[in-house]
Amino acid sequence: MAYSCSLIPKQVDVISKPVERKIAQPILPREIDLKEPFWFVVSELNVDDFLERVKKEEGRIVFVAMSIPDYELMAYNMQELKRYINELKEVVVYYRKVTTNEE
Amino acid sequence: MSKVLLGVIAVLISICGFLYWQNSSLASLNQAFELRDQEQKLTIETLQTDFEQQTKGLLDLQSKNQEIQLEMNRYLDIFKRHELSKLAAAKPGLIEKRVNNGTKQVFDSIEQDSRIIDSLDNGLQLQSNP
Repeated sequence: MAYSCSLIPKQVDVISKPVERKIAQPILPREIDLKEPFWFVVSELNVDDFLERVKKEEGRIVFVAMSIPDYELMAYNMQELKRYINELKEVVVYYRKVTTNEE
Repeated sequence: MSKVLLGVIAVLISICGFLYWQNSSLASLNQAFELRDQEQKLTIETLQTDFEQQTKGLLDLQSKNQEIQLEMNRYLDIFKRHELSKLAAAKPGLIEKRVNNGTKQVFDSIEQDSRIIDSLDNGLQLQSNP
């Protein structure tokens, strides 16, 4: 209203200015706690000993078997998970750096 | 004569008044422009700093990812260099030890990786839950 009453037109400037945001850094999840399985390596040389051992420990012959190529696949999968965790961790570090003013 | 003089004085006063008003209005406009200029410079500086920080961060991220990939390849090369099937068939006891040690090492390294975010991040430790 004040502007419309004035005889001299006034210009309103709109200025964009970045606002410093405070981003709260979340608490990261607790570390991984892995339990190690025991691998039996069985060939023709020790298959009888192995079966006897399983029977003694489990009370009967029952086990989960894996071939060597499948074991290699499992090892590859573990490395793939490790790679993903580490790369994601670096992304977290990146975001922490760009959202805080620390060098 | 005096009327003419008075008229001239009146005109001069009017002109002076107009010039004074114009001057003060231009001064305030100039002040506003200076402020805007200052704000814009600050904005550009902030944007440039942010851009540099992000570019550096992305480059660091890229080189870290390459290192991680190389480490993975180094580990998997072990399987390529040795024929595990043959070795396991010939010496199951020896391979059993190596396989279990290898599993322990990999699991330990994964646990360690999840414990510390990064050495560059001021040794930031993750919060351990009981």
